Amino acid sequence: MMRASILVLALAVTASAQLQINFYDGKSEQALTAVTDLGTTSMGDSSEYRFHARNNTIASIALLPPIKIAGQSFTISDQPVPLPYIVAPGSFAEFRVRFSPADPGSYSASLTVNGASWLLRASAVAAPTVSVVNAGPALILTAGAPIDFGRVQKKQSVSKTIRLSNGSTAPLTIQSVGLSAGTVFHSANPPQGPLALAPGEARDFQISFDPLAAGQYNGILSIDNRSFPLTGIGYDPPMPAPSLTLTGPQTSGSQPTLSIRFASIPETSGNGIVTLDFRSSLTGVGDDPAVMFLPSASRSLSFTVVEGAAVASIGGLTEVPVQLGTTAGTVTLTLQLAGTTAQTSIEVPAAAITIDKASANRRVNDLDIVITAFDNTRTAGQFNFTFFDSAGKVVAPGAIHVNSTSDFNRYFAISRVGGVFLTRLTFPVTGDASQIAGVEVELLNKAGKSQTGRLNMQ
Amino acid sequence: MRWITALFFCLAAAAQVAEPQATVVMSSDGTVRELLGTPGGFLPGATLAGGAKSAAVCDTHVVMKLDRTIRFDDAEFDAPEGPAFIGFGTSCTHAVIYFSAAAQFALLTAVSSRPLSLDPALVAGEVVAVGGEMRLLVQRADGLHDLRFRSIDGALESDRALGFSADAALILSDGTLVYATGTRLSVQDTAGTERSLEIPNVVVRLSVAGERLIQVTTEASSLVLRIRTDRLDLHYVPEPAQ
Repeated sequence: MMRASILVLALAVTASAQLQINFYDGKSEQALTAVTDLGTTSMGDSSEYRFHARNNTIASIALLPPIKIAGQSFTISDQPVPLPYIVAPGSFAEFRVRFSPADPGSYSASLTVNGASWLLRASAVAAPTVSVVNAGPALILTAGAPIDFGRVQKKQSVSKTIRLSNGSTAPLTIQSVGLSAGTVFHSANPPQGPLALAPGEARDFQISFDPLAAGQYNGILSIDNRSFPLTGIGYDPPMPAPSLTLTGPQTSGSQPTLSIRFASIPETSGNGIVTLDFRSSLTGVGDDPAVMFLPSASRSLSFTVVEGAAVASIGGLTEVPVQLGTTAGTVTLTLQLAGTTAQTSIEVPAAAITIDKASANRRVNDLDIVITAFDNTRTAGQFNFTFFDSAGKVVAPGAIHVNSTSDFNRYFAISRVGGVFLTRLTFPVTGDASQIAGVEVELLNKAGKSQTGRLNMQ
Repeated sequence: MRWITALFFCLAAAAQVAEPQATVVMSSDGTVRELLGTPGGFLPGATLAGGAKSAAVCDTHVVMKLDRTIRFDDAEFDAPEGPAFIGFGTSCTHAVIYFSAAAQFALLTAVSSRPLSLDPALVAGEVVAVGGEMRLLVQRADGLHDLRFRSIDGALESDRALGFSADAALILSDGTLVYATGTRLSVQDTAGTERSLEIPNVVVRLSVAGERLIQVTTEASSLVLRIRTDRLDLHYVPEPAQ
């Protein structure tokens, strides 16, 4: 026990002689001399200085408590914990000294490390107290302290009031106040230097943060030789609610136009997609390939939201046609934009057969009637034909009923074009076919009747 | 490559049923393809050619102007470069062609292509439409003129100022005029009765797509105009990317 105590004491004595105390400016070290000048600090600010206790020997050395600083406005602000702290050969231990002058003038302090002492000198210059005085108590800033404007929506503005005050008993002159140029930080009423402040006097001014786009922003507020970083984040406003607007008839065979509109003018840009889905209301009938966006012949469209435009751009257009096909059912449009989904459905009702064109032709003793039409119920096949002579009288036996439902059923089972069909009906004529001058055709499906009107024989 | 209507038929005593082909259209990129279905219920069909400069349809016949040739159904003939104005005759078995880049006329059938001699001095303007019966619409400083030539010797039979200008025009086989000025599309029948409608975009080309069926190509899309007795119907055409 006695031997161990003697050994520790011997090590300590050795350490005090061999640790080298260096001033470290963040880049390089410089050995302390008898008197070391630390520079100038503005009144009301704090400056922190870094020191390295370096071991340049080949044996470990202890940094012993206490590290002492004796002098007004100087404190030890950081040191290794716990002390004693063993510094390995070639290594160092860092401690820091803070200088916080309350008044202008020259200051000195005695730094003592492992029993050896050095004299430190610093000076303080008169400077205003800088504080942010928005809501709540004033926040006093020291040089280098950031002024954070937080998150601000793009194209909106947030301002903070900066107060420059003279808390000393002597007049104070501020030579310059400046904001870094080319940033989104602005001041409508910046103080112009030189600015004289009497003891106790204060001067307020505003700095605003006006982000024009989303992103992180930085600036600098300079007051004489002191700098205060300005920070803020701009963010995009939320996208207004989109809606799918259809204009025009919404029946089979129609092509209403689709536009994408917003509840309010978008203040941001973005990209989205709108998709189309079709569900037939007919038993045993699935899709209708003629249901599509035009002209792309697709079921998916990309669109662009342009900031300031109330209507989205779909491939450069403000509206695109939606072809509703020729099958009764439901067309559903779904929009996805920035996590938002909007949907609208179009109920395409069952309807009587729509006739596109019809013609009647005479071939020796045959009469051909050709009809192009669509049946969105796919129940076509029943016809009534009434033939007329050149005097406009009905030719006996009057209306002729034809039931070709089975033919149409077979056709619709394999057709690739929805409810569209072309049908040719041939009537052999016994006698003089030229006596037949015209025909009227009635087409029936489960939704109703359609008529061609009078077709003249060609 | 004659354009045949029927794709298939169901055997039936009373009715034959088939998928209808609406017409043949040319996309803005020069793709010529069949169009299935009916107006308002179109489906893109088979591609017939790419890189076409002009195309027109009459009944089941298709004329396509390609880069250095012109086709009448399956027959192909040498032709000057560039687009052509195509005017079918009433029977659809021949067409008068005007090769605008070369300022040459030709009479085209399924078996021959024969130059037509027309005195350019008689034309005296920019040809904007050709009719199948030796009829031209010519744009001059005072507007469109309707010129009719004698088919035998190319002599000018009549020159009538129409009193309006057009960005694109057509003469249908029955004599009906179809013309576009900006976004306004007009149809004037032989009695002079005119009907008009607005098109969503500026019209850049008109072409015959069938009986009383007109393909209307605008700056943004392609449409077909169905000329009905009581109304004009306009429908968009699907143009899938190649």
